[in-house]
Amino acid sequence: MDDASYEDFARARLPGLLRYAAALTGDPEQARDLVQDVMVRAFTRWRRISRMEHPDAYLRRMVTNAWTSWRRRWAVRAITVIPDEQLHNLAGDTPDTATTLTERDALRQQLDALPRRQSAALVLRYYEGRSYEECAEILGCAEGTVRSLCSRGAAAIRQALEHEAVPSLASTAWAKDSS
Amino acid sequence: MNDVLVDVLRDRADLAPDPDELWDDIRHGIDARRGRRRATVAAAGASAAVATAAITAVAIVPARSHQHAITAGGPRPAPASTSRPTAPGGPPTRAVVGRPARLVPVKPPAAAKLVLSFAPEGWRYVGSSPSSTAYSNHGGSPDVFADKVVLLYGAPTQTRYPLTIGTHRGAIWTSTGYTAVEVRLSATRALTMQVPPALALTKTQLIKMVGTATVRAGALPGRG
Repeated sequence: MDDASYEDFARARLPGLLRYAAALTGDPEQARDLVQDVMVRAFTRWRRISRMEHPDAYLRRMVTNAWTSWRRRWAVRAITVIPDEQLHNLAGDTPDTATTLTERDALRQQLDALPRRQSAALVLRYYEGRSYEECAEILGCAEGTVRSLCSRGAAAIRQALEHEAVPSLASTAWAKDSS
Repeated sequence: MNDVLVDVLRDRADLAPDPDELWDDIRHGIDARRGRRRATVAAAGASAAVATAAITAVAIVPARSHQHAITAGGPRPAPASTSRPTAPGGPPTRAVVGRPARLVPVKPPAAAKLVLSFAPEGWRYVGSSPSSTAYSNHGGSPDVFADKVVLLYGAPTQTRYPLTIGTHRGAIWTSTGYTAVEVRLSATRALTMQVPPALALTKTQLIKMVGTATVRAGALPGRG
């Protein structure tokens, strides 16, 4: 097994993979554990993975699969407390901080409440800016399924935000993915 | 596409841990996995390397139906030295640096099928499956065993069990990334406790921990 080749690859891809996992989970500790677990497993399969056309996409697929199959009950019990300072950082430099905090926190909560494949599709599509084809490769499904996952995820968030009376976000165009 | 969603996702991504720090953990996990593989291979041969030193007297507490309760009756071990040796295969990790290896009673979590009665001070239950339970001093996922104290229920892995733990036979071995104590409960079942070597637990402490562990009804054999 080529340790050097694995290390070169892992070190180069680790930052992006961690950011992906953090966007997916919303929890840095879970992201750390998820990526660590995947990278250790990837090492044992490195001979095969290194011959793939897109090993990077395969690792994202491993992370996504690990995330979607991780014990749900554990995720439900894991309560992430977001410090005020972090919430302020989430708000960015906007004039109406209170409204933005409420909106973004509501959006964050709805992301966490989505079925995991839906949230993975949204992260790949909106955060990583991947094409439907790339999303499909990583999620291991058809492009049409990715479109459906994104659409249903967006609709679920929109519906929840409407229910929670956060109309400014609920009415935004992203919820109707037409791209 | 909406900027707010992208911003929220980007903000979440910004919380990602330091890759360099994680790389150390990944190397540690790889070393531990290699160690486990070596241990398994070694166990398959007649020359399996297991500790053979004598242990303190232990007594078995009769188990309730479908339960194995193994209680160590030896003298309470003295607190370990605060000077920690470096873990084999690398420096101590973030999980165990500076943690005193003094055993304290812990309340067995109701949900877990495998539970400790004593754990290193500062270590707490983090989660379990029917075949494993993890304790940690830094949180983290119960699915990742590196740097955690883990109880595993499954098939015996050793060919020799030179120790007596209660009325059961047991073995202790050290590999890269972990020290393990295994109690052979039957021909097909064993309870294995895996601990980070950097905790520097004494053999008596290891025996006490695994000797007071309980396998509850509902535990299912597996390897984690």
